[in-house]
Amino acid sequence: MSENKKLPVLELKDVTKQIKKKVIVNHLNLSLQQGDIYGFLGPNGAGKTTTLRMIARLVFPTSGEIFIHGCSVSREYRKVMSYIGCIIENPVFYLNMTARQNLKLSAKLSDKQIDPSRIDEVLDIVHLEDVKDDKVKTFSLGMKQRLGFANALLCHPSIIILDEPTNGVDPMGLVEIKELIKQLSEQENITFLISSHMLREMQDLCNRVAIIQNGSLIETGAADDLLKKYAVDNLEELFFACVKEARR
Amino acid sequence: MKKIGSIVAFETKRMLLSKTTAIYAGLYLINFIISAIFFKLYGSEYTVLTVGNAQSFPVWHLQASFLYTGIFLAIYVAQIIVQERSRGTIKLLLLRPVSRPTYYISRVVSIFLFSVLLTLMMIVLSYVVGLLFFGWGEQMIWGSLTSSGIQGVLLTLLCGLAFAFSYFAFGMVAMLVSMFTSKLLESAIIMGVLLMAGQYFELLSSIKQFAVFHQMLFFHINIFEKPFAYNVTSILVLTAYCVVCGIIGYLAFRKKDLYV
Repeated sequence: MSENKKLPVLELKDVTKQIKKKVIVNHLNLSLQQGDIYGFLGPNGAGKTTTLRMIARLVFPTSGEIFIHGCSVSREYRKVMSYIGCIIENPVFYLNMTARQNLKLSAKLSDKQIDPSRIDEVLDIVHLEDVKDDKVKTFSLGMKQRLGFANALLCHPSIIILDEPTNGVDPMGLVEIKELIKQLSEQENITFLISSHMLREMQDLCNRVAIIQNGSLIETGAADDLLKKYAVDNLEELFFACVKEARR
Repeated sequence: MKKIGSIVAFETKRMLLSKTTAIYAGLYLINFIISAIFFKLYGSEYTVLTVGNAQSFPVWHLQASFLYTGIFLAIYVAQIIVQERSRGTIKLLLLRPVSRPTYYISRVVSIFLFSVLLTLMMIVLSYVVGLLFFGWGEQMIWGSLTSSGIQGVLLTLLCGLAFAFSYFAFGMVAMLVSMFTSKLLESAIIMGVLLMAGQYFELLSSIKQFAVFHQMLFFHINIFEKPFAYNVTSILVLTAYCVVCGIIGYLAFRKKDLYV
């Protein structure tokens, strides 16, 4: 039992993705514990989204292995996918269907029994209750992000993967999403892996960070410890300090 | 199985309610009306019809719709395979516990259902147009076949099933092509060109039976006209198209990186 408790929620072991001669992700190792809000930081083209796609099995690693709750993503895909909720790259829905219809389809495909009231519940959480019967094609990018968040939450995941979740979200929405992430992490012990190149937005959100550049992990650890280690005040400074260090 | 059912049910509902399906129905209707008007004006010389009655109307029009039924099917396959990838909606399914084999099989079933739906749509619409222009008539006359009443309708449906099967085999070819293309238009153009070029297999009498295009044109006729052994070969040819394209398509999809 205690063994299980120590098992990382998400673990990447020596994961590499190579396309022809180009290495997109280079021998990446990551480990996330239950309740972590893990910032996966790096500039555009660093390999963040490809890594998230590999976790969600949309893209296959060239080598290495990914585990969620100790289950191999390559061998126990269905089990693994019932643990996670994702927004990868951008939230995509059937535009001619309503928000509710999209979530209903999503719930149907879950291995868990999802009560129909859960759909309204998650739409309430992301403040889309008033437009739940509107077609998604009428939604702004920010609203789609929130709907994507509702979809990720729908099936009671233990880990939520968010790829640039603040894209297109207005300042008010941004504050709400941050609050929601914190609340879900604290109250429901949900683990978050959030990729972003918006370092300031991640500052007061993540308790752990991983910094990736050109596909390689250049630093990882508790955010506070890293700030102390590099004697910097914020994630932005930390990022530049790490990049500088890595170049030496 | 339950998930395949859910995905297929969703896809079928979407297909039935889509504007594209309504447009296809409209195009078939226009085509049948033009055919009926020409028959009224000039007799059988300028149309595919040889008999002017509703009972015979559908079977005569199946073969005549070879090109655009093939294109409709190719577009549908590209929509549910290529467009799902290019728009990213494939994520909505694959980011749930839906395995790739489940997703793939659901697509194959959807293509089969669409082939059947298109055929049924043609049969129903042509019965309607036939009734409006000529009335039901006394006999269903089709080639050497003569029938009437419910037997004629069942014969028409059997003919339609054979027609749908050959188009399903073509749909599987389209599915294979869709695995290697990245745009709907690209996929539809390739299939359209194949359809037009494929008709020239008719000039190669020794091998034409092995071309899916020949089967799309003649399988539903040959099952009533040709000897049993010939039809068994045709069924095996069509099954081979379905199985071979299905397997190669799956092998391509199974390990395909989806940058969506």
